[in-house]
Amino acid sequence: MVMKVYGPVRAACPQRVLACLVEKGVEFEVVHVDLDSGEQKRPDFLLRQPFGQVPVVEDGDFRLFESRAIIRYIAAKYAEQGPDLLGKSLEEKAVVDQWLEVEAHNFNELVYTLVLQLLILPRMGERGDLALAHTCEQKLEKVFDVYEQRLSKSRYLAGDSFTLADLSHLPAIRNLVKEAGMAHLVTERKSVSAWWEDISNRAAWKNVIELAA
Amino acid sequence: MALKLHGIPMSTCTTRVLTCLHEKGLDFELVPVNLFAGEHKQPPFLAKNPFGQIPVLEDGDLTLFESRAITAYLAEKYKETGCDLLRHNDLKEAALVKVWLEVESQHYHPAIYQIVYQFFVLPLQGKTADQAIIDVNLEKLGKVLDVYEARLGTTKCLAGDFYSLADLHHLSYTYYFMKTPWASLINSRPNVKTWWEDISSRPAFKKVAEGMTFGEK
Repeated sequence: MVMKVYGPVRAACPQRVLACLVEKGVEFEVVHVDLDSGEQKRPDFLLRQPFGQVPVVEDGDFRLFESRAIIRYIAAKYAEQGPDLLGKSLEEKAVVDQWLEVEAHNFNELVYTLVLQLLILPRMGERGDLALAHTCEQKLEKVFDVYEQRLSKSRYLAGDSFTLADLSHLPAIRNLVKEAGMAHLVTERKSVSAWWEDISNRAAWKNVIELAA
Repeated sequence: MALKLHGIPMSTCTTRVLTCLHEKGLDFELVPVNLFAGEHKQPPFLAKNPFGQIPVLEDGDLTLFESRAITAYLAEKYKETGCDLLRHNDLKEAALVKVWLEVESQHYHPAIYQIVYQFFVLPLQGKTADQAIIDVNLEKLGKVLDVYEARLGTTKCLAGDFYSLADLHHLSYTYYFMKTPWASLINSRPNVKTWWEDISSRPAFKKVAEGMTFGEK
């Protein structure tokens, strides 16, 4: 039975999951969820995901939510096929986990807030808080400085290979660079730039972007 | 060579790791970091964690930061010892643990962190708590706890009928939260209350809680 992914292909968190599925060569079916009409907050969807968010996956009768838990599950279940996204030794896995946590705690909220203020609220006809967006941008500069330092010593965040830690950043950085006018955060940093060039040109990610077009 | 944990006994994120170390019955050394002197923002410490935060774990020549990555590493490395925190023998149970680890990280933490920060940390810096921020986050936390109340009506703990790392990750911040005037958010929800009393009375946590003296004179 094919894995079902609930969520619009244009949304960042479903894209995180789709990127992982495509990297691993796992067949899937996208079930569109209409966020604009609030489908995700309706009772029948809340049965799938009690926080009313996308994505949700259904693997047979096994259901999961939280995109970062889903990608860990997929990478573990399909460890023997496609690229190794988790790391081999215990230490390698721990470093992958470390940078996944960095993405979740030091990076994501800043990008999310910035995109919310600059893109999403205006699209909904509301005023974005530009001062807040600017504060996020300044904090992101410092975070990207740390990434620059790391990537000047390591080809990918967790080491020499592309892993979930890099993959997890794809949707958010794409939003920053392509939609929010924040490309300078990447282009002004040599190692971050090279890393972004590399990971955003992976066939699997380009595939996901095509699906979202 | 023993495990070295850089951090302090009253810190929420350090105690997240301490609890895990105790659940696994591991030997370790706690190396204090002088936060008040800004030790964590200076070059020697920044070499360990470029984000200038505690805790940091050193295991031989492996250095790790991010408390949730550290606990995941310890739980994996010592999976055959002490409490089974990851349910590694069952792919589905392990996945459900991961779901609720993420729920803590993405839903529970952002709300409870703001409340604990305003109420405990700001006064230490000589600043006043912003009640508006507290109120917004109390509302958010309430909504999250409603989901927990429903979930814990069907299972004993978050990932299933077993204690796991997902429950453990909630201990430190919730412990401090229960010392604020808003503990009723937990106490008024019977399933959440039972779960909280259960997980916070585990010996491994009680040991750690002795050092959690924020807010005490």
